[in-house]
Amino acid sequence: MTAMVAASLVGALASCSGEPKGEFERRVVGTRGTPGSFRNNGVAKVFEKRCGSLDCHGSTARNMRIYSSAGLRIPTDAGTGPGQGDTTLDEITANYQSIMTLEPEATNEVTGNGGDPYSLLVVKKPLEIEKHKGGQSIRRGDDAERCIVSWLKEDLLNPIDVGACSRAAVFPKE
Amino acid sequence: MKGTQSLLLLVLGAASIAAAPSCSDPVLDDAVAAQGNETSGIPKGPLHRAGSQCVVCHQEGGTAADSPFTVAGTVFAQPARQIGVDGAEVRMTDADGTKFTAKTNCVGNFFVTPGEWQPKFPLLVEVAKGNLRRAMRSPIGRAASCASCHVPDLPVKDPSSQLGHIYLFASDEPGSPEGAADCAVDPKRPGSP
Repeated sequence: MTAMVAASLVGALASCSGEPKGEFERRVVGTRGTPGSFRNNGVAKVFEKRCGSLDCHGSTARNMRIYSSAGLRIPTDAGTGPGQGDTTLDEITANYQSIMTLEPEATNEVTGNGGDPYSLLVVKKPLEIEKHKGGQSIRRGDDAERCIVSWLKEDLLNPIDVGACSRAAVFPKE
Repeated sequence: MKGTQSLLLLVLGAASIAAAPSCSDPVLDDAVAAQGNETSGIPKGPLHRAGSQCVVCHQEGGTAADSPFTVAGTVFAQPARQIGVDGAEVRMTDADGTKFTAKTNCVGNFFVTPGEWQPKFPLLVEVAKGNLRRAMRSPIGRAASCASCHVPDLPVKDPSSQLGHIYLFASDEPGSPEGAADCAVDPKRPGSP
């Protein structure tokens, strides 16, 4: 009996020791490229306006498919077509998913591990850093670039550039 | 015997070359075919195929490659009637800020040749005549033919991804034209109500 108790104590102690785990890494995650910021800070509108025309990403033929009130619509019972009503929450959500899943691993590296937003197609293509069939749809230094990049780098110390987003969403000038 | 074999090989070789696929672009071929036949009574020229995707043919490699366009389309009078608007201004601004204004002919067609203007997309566009002006709410990303998105079908086949034809007048606005009287062809698109 004594031997059994001693053996279980040894076993319990052994389970508490082992390889040192090192310092616990504290990181603030989940603030970059969030859907809430996409929807509420005007990023969604920038993608709609700059990328979502029917002859570009407002097409079911595109990997990065962008729905918008002025372009491609998610079919509904109401039969809302291009140019009618507002962009719906379903459409904004679909756009977010489309952008985020274009390059899942690379996007995760940027939004989860602080990677460089300029490594992503969603930034490289419109700036024509990488070949883009639609040409340079966003110029370097433009409000649209500042908006998208600041959204992908957003954290407590680096807030999203809401002003740039609201200015970039007015396109064409109305 | 050897001579017969050589001849056979030669024939087989020639047949294989003939059977090999041609160098045409099947996507472009399909797009051209989708435009349909010419309307009888309307000769090829500036007044033909109102409402069609002009730059499908009028581009390098197209069936009208000898007269390429950089931008082209048709402006109709009303949303539910396809009567061409004569003399409407199509005002365009490209990504570099350069501007070009094209004017429609009596069937509503307008076209821009590379010698006139080679825009850098995306383009902003508005259509105007007299005091009436309609501006597009979104830029044109890269389609050189208006009818790529503004399909001439009445009603459109896929309302979630297609827009109706370009029109300048709402049906109840005064001054909506019934078509230029001196037009060489009927300015009303065949099939329009």
